[in-house]
Amino acid sequence: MMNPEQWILRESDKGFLSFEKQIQMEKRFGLSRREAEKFVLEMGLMPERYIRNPWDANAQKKLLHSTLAIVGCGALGSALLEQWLRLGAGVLKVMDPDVFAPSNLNRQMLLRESDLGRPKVEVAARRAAEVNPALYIITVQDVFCDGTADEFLDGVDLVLDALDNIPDRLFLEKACAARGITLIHGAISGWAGQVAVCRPGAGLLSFIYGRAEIHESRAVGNPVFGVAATAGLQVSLACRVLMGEKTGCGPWFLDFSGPEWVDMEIF
Amino acid sequence: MEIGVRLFAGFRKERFRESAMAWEAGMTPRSIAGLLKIPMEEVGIIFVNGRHADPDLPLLAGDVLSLFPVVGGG
Repeated sequence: MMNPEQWILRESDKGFLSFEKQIQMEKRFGLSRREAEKFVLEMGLMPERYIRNPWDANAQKKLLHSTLAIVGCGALGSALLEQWLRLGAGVLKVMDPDVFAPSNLNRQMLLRESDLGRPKVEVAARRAAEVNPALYIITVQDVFCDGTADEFLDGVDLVLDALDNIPDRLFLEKACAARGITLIHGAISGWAGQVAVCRPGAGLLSFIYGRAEIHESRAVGNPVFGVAATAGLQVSLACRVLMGEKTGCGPWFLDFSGPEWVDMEIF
Repeated sequence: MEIGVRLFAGFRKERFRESAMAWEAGMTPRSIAGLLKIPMEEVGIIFVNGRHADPDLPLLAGDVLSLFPVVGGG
């Protein structure tokens, strides 16, 4: 009787295993989607669904073995989630206390009209199962705070900031620093976006938002193009950090009215 | 004295993107923001000559001030 490795060797071609063959393999050996992908990647091969990712099976394996926390599941959180589902990150933890409201429709990409009134994290879990069942998603409908941070950040390799206000972000930076976890900051406001790599202890967000006069960004609306661009940069930075590459810290300021992009490297 | 001022994103609306105009001596980022009617609570990062600067830094002739809005939504 053939084992999964032998089967993969026989059925793979040109460095990858086709999606169709992978499904056959799952049925034949009683494997979950995730288990099947792990087998394929362990052999240095790519599951077909990832062959257009611009890296090799080894890097893809790193992603599948990563645990990421997305704090907030509104505009940025939706866009971040969708990207990780496509890229093939392993375990996704998503936290948000809210339900979807009509004014979210302009920019929160998870949201369909039929989801109005549903908890954002519930819709996130459904989307994850629909797009990429190889990933493991843990959703928590709660506020990120002292009482929830410990459990939520347990076992997390990297945190993505998808919060919608400054005080929560300052708390998130401290919570990540206390646990030695790098935070990929992203924020949007009107025609602007901002991303940064917050290394533990650097205090980058306290620096950006620390001036006493700053309480909140002005309510100028958030367009979906700003969401997509900002979340895209967050994820590209996160991939590089996960793959052990050196990145700057930023912050980088994105001006969509230009467009223009400014490296505001502070430290 | 001439000071370059660069504004970003929403600050450009009904103002300008970049200007080099003459200001009275003794200006600071805070006083220029005030004269441009930009509330300081909307100003995030402040650069003078490409480096982070305090809002009360005295500006010198030829300096270039950049004002970035606070970006805190998501």
